[in-house]
Amino acid sequence: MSKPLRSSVGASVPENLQITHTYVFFLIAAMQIGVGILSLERVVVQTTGYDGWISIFITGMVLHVVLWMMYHILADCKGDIVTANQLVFGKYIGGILSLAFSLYILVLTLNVLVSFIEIIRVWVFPSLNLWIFVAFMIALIYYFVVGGFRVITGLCLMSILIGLPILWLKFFPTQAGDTLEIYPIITHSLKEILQGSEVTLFSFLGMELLLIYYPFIKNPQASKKWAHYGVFFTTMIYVVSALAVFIYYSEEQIRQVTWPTISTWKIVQFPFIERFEFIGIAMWMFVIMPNICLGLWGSTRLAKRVFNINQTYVLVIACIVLYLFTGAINERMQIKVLSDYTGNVGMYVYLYIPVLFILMKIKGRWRKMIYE
Amino acid sequence: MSKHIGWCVPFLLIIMTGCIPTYGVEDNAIIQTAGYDPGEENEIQGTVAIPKFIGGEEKSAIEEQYVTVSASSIKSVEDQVQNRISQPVSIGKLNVTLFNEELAEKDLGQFIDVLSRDPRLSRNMFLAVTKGNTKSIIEGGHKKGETISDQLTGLIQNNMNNDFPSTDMHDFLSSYFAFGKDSFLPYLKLEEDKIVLEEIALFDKSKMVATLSKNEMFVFRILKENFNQAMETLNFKEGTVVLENIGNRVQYRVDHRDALPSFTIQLDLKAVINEIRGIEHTVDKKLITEMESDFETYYQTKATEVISLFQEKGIDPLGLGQFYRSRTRNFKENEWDALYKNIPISVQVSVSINEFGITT
Repeated sequence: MSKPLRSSVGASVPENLQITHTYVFFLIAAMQIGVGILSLERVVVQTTGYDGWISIFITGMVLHVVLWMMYHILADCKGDIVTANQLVFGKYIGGILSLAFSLYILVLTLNVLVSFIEIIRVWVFPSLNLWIFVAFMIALIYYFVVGGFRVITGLCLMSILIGLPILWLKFFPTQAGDTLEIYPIITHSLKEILQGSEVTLFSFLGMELLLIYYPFIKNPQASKKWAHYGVFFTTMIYVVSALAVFIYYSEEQIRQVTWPTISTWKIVQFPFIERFEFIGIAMWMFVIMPNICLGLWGSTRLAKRVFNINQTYVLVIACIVLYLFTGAINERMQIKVLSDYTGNVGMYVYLYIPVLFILMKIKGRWRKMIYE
Repeated sequence: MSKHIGWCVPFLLIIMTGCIPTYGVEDNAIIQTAGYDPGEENEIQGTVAIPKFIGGEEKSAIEEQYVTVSASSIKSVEDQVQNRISQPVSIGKLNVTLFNEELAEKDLGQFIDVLSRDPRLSRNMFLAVTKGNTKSIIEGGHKKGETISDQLTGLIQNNMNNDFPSTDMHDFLSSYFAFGKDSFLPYLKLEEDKIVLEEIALFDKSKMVATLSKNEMFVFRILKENFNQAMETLNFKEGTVVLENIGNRVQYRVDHRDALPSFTIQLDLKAVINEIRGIEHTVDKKLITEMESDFETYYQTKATEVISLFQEKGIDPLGLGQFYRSRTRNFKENEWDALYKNIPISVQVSVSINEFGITT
């Protein structure tokens, strides 16, 4: 079973481990949608008020450009981020950068896990025994990741299919709310709107994993459009979700609500289930599972690529690290610090991609000149 | 190793589900109604109603248990109730929360904070203000075969299909926090042994400042929202006429060309006449037109009265401030409160009486 992680030492991947290009859509969307969306609306309202949905839209549009750059980088170096870093910065600096990237993705994964467990603890089981619960969750995650990239892709597909029906719940808050709150549109300055875009970026993180799994795509050129569809899909879900929540809450009220999306599930009531948010939170497990698995896989895959070692060993170490940190970080304030930190680092990663893009292009031009 | 994990994880997950203790409804003390009164020296007196479900086929007699405790904080009411009850207390099904008028006039801010913070509570819960003790309402309003919670939710729910504007905890919270909008709650009182909902308690932020009477309530609702059911008895000539609303439409307009904006509220009321008492009449076109114009003036004066009450108290349950902000660029929030009291608000009413029952 651990075979998928052992083979393919270099950037090239044997065909039996590759995926069809269509699945890039699910990989991108499933990795982006995670715990970010649950608090997205509150975070964006703090800087941009009810113009926040414009900020979200702008972030989504900018990400299309970043995605285009990523595809250029990857097509030019015919490999993944490790090859690109080595080409541009040489073996050692490139390797360090790749490891930093690997660490960042591990932190991102940790953040998803920690935030979700916090939600379980606040909403469902306040007295949850963290160590036991996390142990079980990590065992499950290990099981998925050890199955290899194709298993994780399948998980992403499942997560989108199971997660989509939750979107119907957005219908209930629009019934109970008032559209007056959103108007007039654009009352904030451009600066505030762009600041809003900056803070929403946290919810969009995860797209950069394309830099790692690119060699696993069977027909990379054809996957381009699916990747863009994926980003567009996420953007639209975020915008619609934000609008529904803005209609439901008044602006001052939303600042008091920690997880606006989960709180809107509170009004969903069926004769057989009094509190729908319990079901919603349980279903959300499917949404965050690919986040964690893909993150862990990507992070360990980078270590494997840099050091040429067996990924399973790195995975075991990463799981232990994840376990210890998840168990230790259990206060609202610590989690907030971690999210802010991850968001900031994510920002730098997204700034790093254009830099890499330009350097790649210069290098290519230079090499061409020498050959001529 | 990884081969075994594949079996272990699902297996353990299945056996672990047995670790959560289970309770049936009969073994739980489910608080459905809670009421808060002022106690001695800043304490709060909380009263809860817990129905007892008797197992077995016949469910005719539902017994209810009332517990009253004094506590220094809102949360400790629950705790103290637990000290007096043999079953585990659960408050997930809390349907109605009542507040004594005295508490509401002082400040409900803290209650609102606690209620909105607890993840176990529903957002569809009803809040209401009571005249007099909530304890006497909870204990006195109980009928055989119906829990107090069923009775109160039924009362509020059905009146929302009639002349009471729609309300629940979410509506209250959202207008409590919203800019340019104030909240209101049902105002309950005990008449002999019946609970009566005839009035509205109006809030300025978290303080109750005024009430609207039965007649004003109807006017308030037609000013606030579109709906299509409700009856009202009106004086006409020397007798009375019962008017049934079958669909009204209300529209706000604002004219902000001047420094002081002016509001126009356009009100279209479609109605049916059901009962005419004390008037010698043959129903013809003349009488109908006469009624229409008479009622138009009535509603106009009544609506103006209600609105000037709002302006005088500085409250805005209609959400005119919110409406104005949504239509204005560069809106200055800090100036609005001072502005609001002096804004001219005119009401234009048109009543059309369509039908008058199945006999001529």
